[in-house]
Amino acid sequence: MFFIKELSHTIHLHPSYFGPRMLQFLESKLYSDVEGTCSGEFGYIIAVVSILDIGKGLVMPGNGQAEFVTRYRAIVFKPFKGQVMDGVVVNVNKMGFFADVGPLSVFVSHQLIHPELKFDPNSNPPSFASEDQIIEKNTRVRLKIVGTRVDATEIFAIGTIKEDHLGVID
Amino acid sequence: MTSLRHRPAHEEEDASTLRLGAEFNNAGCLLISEVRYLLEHRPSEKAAPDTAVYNKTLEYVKTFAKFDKPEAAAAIRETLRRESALTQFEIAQIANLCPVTAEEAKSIVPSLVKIDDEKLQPLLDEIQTMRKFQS
Repeated sequence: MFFIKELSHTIHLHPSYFGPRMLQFLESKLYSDVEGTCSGEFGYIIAVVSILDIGKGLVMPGNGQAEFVTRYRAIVFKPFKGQVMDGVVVNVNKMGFFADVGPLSVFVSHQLIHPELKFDPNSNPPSFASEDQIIEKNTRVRLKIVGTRVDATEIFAIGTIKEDHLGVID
Repeated sequence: MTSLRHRPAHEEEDASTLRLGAEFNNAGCLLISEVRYLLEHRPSEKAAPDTAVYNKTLEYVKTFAKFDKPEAAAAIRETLRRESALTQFEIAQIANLCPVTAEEAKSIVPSLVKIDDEKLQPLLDEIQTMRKFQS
């Protein structure tokens, strides 16, 4: 699910940047620090929409750096267990297939694919196929997240298409 | 030991029962169509971030956005807001997945069981009509 969310980010600024172009520098630093990152708590931060407050810039005792606590509004993407979403298949092998849902990669194991869809090792590209359906690279599928695992910089998800109203979509 | 006992119980996230965790229970959900609009109409003074996350998302929202115009997305929201029992998350899920029947809607968004089929179906019909006639 995509969300619009207020977040904050702390920037430590070296005194050599204090000067007329400091604000522009802070803004571009914020963009490059947070956009494209991923955390378990907030999911993927896709893009900053607006900066609400750049912060006061408190000089820290001891080293002269200024600390800016910026508040900004961003588009974030976070998958939830039990959520149904659409994705595009990127890779098929005999263990199952991988589908991309935005920045997230979801693995669907062959045990969570309807038994009628069988892996066809001779097809090119590799595919899961039944009499009237085929799952290969670039097929659009509707899947349900059954579990997520959170890494420091990435989220991995396991999905299923073995339920009603899930599977290939046209 | 006391610190262990007093630690607040971790709430397990589960979309089927609408538990999204402390950070997201009240956060504003975006439709895929709205994300597409936001990404394609960025303020011109700022270049688009060149990250894998951004590019994959842009491609994804272009593939799966159901409504081309922001007005259409706003109209969908307006329609679904009439049913006051729907949460932000459910509204976004219905608008993103566009189920055709009430039965399908309840299967892909399990928390919708609280709404009668007779109330849900007209809303879904209206969304299908809007999808068909957006030009």
